[in-house]
Amino acid sequence: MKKLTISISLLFILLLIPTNVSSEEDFSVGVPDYLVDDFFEYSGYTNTIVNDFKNTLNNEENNAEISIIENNDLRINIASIEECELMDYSGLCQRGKTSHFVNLSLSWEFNTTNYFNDQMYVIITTNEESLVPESESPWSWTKRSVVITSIFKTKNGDEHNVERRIVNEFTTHTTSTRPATISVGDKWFLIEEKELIEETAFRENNGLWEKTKSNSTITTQRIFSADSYDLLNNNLGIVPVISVIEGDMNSGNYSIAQLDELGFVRKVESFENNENTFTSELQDYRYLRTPDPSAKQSAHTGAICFGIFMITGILFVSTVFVNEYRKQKTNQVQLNNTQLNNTNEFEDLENKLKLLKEKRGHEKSKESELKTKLRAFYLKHNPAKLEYLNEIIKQMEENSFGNSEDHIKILNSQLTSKYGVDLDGNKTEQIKESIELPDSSKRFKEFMESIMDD
Amino acid sequence: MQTNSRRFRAILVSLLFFSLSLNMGSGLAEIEEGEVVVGPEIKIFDMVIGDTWVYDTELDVASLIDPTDETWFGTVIEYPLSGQTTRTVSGIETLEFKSQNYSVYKIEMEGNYVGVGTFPAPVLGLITGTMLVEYSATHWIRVSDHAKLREVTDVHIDLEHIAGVELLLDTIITREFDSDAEFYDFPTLWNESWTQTYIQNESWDGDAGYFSPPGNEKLKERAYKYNNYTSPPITWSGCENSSYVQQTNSESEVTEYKWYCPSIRGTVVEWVDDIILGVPAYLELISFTPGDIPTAQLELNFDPSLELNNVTLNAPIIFNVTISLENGSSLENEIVRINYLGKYTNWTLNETNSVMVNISSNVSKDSTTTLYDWASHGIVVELKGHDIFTTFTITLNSSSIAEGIALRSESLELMDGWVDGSFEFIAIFGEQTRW
Repeated sequence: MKKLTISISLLFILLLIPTNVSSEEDFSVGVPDYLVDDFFEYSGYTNTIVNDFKNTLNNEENNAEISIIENNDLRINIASIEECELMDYSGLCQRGKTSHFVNLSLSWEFNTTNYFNDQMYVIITTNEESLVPESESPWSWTKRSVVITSIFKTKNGDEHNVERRIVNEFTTHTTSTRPATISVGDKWFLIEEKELIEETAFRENNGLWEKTKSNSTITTQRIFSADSYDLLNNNLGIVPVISVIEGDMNSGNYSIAQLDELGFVRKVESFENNENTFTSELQDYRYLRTPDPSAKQSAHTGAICFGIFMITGILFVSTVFVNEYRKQKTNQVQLNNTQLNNTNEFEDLENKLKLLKEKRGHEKSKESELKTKLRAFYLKHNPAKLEYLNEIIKQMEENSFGNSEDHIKILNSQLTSKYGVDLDGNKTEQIKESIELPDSSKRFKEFMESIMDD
Repeated sequence: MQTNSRRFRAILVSLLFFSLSLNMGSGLAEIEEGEVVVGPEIKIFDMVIGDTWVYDTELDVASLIDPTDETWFGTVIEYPLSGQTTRTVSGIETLEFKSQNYSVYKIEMEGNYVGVGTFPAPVLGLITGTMLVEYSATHWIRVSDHAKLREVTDVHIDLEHIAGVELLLDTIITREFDSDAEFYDFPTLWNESWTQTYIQNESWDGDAGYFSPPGNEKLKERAYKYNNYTSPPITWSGCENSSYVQQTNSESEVTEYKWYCPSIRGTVVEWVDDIILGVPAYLELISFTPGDIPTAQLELNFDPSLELNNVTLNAPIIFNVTISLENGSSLENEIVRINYLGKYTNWTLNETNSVMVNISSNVSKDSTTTLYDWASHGIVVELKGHDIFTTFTITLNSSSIAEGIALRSESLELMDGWVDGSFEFIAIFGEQTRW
């Protein structure tokens, strides 16, 4: 018995020891497919700013002490999927919005400056918008604005502020050999040609911005190699990642991005002369296309955990069962009433869920059926209005119009009056209104009717 | 043949004149090239109760429509809405504003405007109709500096179409400001520029119809300059040259301008970017009816050593007030009210109908920062119980102005060193996190 227990324990411990991801556990990384309201929050940006500011002040022999008063992590939001035109591309684009904010306090030794209390506040706000085509296109667009505001008082307590603003607008053409999916061993490069419009500006006490504008074209070449499979362990759990190196490690100037299975960046590190200059890590996110949105851990990690659970579970049950079998050879395992009731409840819930899904499916098809019918109707009787079809449907939804059979009757009545034919092709029948519309749509309907009647 | 040619030319000329007459309000006022005429200082002026100005007005409703917004697909408003606006000084009264008390002009505005527009209508596609706008507003303008403290506007918009009339909006809009919204920074010096920041609060009461009330607070960052003294776009006797004061937002986009002319105690031409509902309006004077000027003489005598344009902080402002009525009757023991920095002080006239006033200049800054002066404040002198009043302005200076200039410069340099240097990290960050 002792031997058996030791063997099980050893097996259990061995199973729990983390191992490197072996080549059998390879995976490839595709391009993330973002949806509106996806977001990603990264740490590290504030530290980079503060350290950089400290270094600049040190170089100028300025002994200011810097502390962070308030800080929002850098957050990237997928704001909308919209129609856009980017150079020769015309179609749907994804609009991303990035924001970051930090409020710093600078203080100097007593009476060493002319600032009131030898103190100044520096607020740095970064905002960025980008448009990326949803279909394949070499074009993308980014506009980034960084505003640095310093606020201070003169000795008599009179408050002043000065601001610096840098706005960079890039239209980028990218030529890339990046494979559709990345696996370890892949190498690729991209050439970016950026048309940059840069505007630097400053102002005092909320006055006019004094602006300087410049245009330039920047061409960069970036070389990437997918280096290794790793496990990244942070507050979001243990995640398998592919480490992609940009640049040449031997030169000492490079950066490493760690991509997870879904394709977005979990961690970025930059090195100059082999010294880490920048680290940023994903802290929170919402990726609506995550296979199981309730569990943010990857399917891969889930599989490892499930394997461990299954093996230890089987071993545990087997041990207990063998022991119990030995002790109580004659005892039978019986399901009690509660368990049976629970089973019935689950079945009920399952059925309800099924019904609900069917109902939703039915409602959806009904809604799209109206649109389809209206499209066919306009195509035949007034093609010019097809341009407004989406807007008409949207307005109808907003005004709760078209949600019931009665509404459809009214719509048919109005179309018959106007075009002599209804949605279903019936020509002469005039359908009299017999129902009361909801208040929200009354006004809208009356307005339409007043025009129809004329 | 010759007759036909003459007719053709006549038609062409008529068409040309017609097209010119349609061109009203087509653009911003432009400074003509050539020798620059140095304009006079614009001093605070007293309006008179009953002063009435009538303006031809155009409302640029089309500028509100975003052609890329699918809600407005197909909208066509080819010409601005046009009509007339009447502005009248209906009285002066005391107004409590941010726990301070001020003498204010109550100015009533009335207007009716009409214009044709085509709008998207669900199911039908597009519908063409005539927009009818009824506008009436009351503005409370501070006597001491002509800053607007509050405005209440009643606006009603109908769309008259082939089948009837659709109400688009019927609401009362109240605008208040967290600090005064001062347009002129009296005394406005030639080539002077100044800035102002305030928050505009707007509330709606009524049927918002097809419009959406704006957010509660709107930050207004405004910059002004006075460097044009030329002929306004219209001819008006006594206003051959007028003072053009321009307001822009902080990005230098023009948001408002006024051609001020002292002989009509107001403006001959105005353009505002948001008369109401965010609609820009262009106004050209077509009539001015002056109010009845009081017959009383109100005379102020200052100590010769007092420089009104260079008053130090907390300095005494001493002056003698003498009021003489046309009929020569005595005003002994009548009260003269001084309104300065939101407070009233009372002074009793003696047997010669005069009184020596002594107030402190104080240290209060104003909301129009010129970067180079501390403040300019108006002082209102009123004969209590009568509509007899006048105003003058003092400009405060302080040694701390130089200190402020120096520190702002120092602080900008500090930012320069950083921004122009390794701040580049910010620029590359975005590229590192998105793939």
